[in-house]
Amino acid sequence: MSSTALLKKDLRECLPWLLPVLLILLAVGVEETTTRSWERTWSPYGGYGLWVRPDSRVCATAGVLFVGTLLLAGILAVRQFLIPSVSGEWGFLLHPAGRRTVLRSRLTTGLVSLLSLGGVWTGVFMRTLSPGVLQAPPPIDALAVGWVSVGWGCVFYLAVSLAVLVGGAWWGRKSAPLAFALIALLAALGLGITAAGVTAVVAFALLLPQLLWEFNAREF
Amino acid sequence: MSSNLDYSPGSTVPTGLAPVESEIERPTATETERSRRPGRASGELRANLAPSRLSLATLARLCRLLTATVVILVLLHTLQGAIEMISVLVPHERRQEAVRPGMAQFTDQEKSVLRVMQASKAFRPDGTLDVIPRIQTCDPVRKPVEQLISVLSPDGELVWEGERQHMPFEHLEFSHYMIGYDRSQRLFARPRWTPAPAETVEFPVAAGDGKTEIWRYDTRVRRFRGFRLQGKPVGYLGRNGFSMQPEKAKPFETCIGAGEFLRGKIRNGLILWVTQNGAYRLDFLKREVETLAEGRVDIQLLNWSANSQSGTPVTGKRAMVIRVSPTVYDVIEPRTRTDYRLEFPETGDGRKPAPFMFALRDDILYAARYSYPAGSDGTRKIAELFRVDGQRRPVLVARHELVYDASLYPRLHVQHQHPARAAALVAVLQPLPYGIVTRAVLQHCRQNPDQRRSLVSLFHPPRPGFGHGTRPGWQQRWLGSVMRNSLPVGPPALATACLLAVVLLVIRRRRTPWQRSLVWAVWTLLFNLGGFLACVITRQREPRRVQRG
Repeated sequence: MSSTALLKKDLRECLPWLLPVLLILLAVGVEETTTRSWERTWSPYGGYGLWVRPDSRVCATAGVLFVGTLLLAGILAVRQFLIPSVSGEWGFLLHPAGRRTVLRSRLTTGLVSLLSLGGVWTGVFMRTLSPGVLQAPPPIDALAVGWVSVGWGCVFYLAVSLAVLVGGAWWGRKSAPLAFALIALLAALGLGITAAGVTAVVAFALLLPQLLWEFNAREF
Repeated sequence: MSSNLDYSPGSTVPTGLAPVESEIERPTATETERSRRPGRASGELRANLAPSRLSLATLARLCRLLTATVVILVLLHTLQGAIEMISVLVPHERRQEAVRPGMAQFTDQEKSVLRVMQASKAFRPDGTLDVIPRIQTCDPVRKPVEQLISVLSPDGELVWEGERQHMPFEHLEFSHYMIGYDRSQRLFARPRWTPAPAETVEFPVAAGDGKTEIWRYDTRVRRFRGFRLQGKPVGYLGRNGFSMQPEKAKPFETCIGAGEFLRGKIRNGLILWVTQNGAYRLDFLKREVETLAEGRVDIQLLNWSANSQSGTPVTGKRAMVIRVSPTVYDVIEPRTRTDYRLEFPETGDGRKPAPFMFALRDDILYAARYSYPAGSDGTRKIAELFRVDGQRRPVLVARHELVYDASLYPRLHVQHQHPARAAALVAVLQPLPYGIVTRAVLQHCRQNPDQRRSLVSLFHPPRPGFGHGTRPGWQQRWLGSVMRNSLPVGPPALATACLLAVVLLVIRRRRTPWQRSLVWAVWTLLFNLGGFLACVITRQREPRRVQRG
């Protein structure tokens, strides 16, 4: 099987899970940037009579993006690495293509699926910058917020994949990558945008070599 | 060769399908057979032994060790936190036994003094000082029962007892200093990455032409940026005023508080903006910034916001008090735009100058000060109440001398100390980098007194201010206990780390390479028990070398 065919096959398997999330994200984003009743979202906050409102009109879109990426990451990892183990699919895949090709195809499709959510986010953000949509256009930080969410989705994709691939009967060792990703995510929630992004990159860099090695070393 | 292939589910994938490190790491039944096969299999095996592959394995092992160490350290600290929380909230039986006879060490007079010391104090407008004992509880969920309270005189005699809402006295509510207190520090910090995006402060301003302007505080550049309809930028407002170019508007310092300058007039664009280094009056409509005070200022806002407890809106005059020195204060009344200076008399008896707290009631400004008399060795405390008269001069209303004995606290606070055995255990197991980080932070704090103060308060939570009880909350005590026991790393921790490293070398598997064992030993030296457990958990069985021929 050629690598292109494998890539198409993996992408086809991802689409049923990716499309609903993409559509929901797009719908929420378009809805939020279309209704012009933005003044209603203001609310008095605090004892000093401040007026505070969510940073830009894409607040709900950010929530959908955050939950959607984490959910999609988990589903894709399970679909790509756990289900073939259960159904005994690996033997048929690895023989014609080889481990490196299979892993490359799976990682590419999984990560591209997650990054496509960031593309939708960027589109929504660009729309908020259009004249007439919002009186005060959102700062560039709002764009970074979405991409940091996508980055953490990628980290969780690797963590779940690794947890699925790690051999051994002891659940502590299997769940260690997932626990690490969860701890890093919880720590990042209290950080600024830049620090959260850097933490995601570091976590990704720590998990990726483990995944490559586990996939190579695993007996299928 | 193909006739030997078995593609059934769960079967081992035969040779030629994978460049397997597992052939080196995890021997299988077919290993010997594979190694003898010519062609692709041997070629892949050679490829597996290439330096790039080995470096991936090493890198993966290191990453796995690091992630496992992080997880285990977090688990250990969670366990430590749980133990310390139990020790803070629920005193151990033996400690209770130790405390109970300990309370007997206090005489009746000392107990009476302690009761007054630990009570809240409140001034009535006529100068009477009431002592209201706090109801202590160890349960963080159940708040103290505040319905039934008793009011004592400073001598400890009962004045009144009953339900709080039926209390016949009205007390002055004194303001806090904003620095280090105001909750809006959290609000005005750099935006955090959270599922819901960060909050932004925006002020809608009704411009003269009937349009609305939005002035947004950009936390990145610490300036205001104004927008008109359809996102058309208006300009920037900085410390030095308005400018069309962002670089010409000087950035503000970190904001610690803000609010409407005139009550109910926020859409008029008059904003009070208080930073760590000054207080400003912003006028978005006129595009002006007026500096009310500059330099490191301590500011109290009086009658400014709704009552935090009852939520009732405030009425009447409001004022802002800026501390110039412990006895000199500038008062600004925004509505009348009157500024005046209050100069309080020195204590005159060598007392340490203590800052005043201010309160506004019925448009009359009150000031209270609590200080220790010189030479009293912490056995007495003076409480004074001043009222500002029509000529804007402070007049002494009342002066009370409270019996106070600072020497009672160490005896009393024995019950709040961390159990010695648990503290020793925690200290022994801490990773060595914690000590290095602590030293670096302390070194940094020596050069910055403000940060040092906040760091010290993290380790040793300060008692709340006078009139708000004498005991920090359980959260502060718990966090302080965890910090005190976690960060200082000394010789016991080093000794434990060495011992564990030796144990790791002793229990090493026979086929484990010495280099890897040494790395594990160094890792254990660094991370102590966390590193040791991570090494034990992540190590793998080494492959058995197959003898050919």
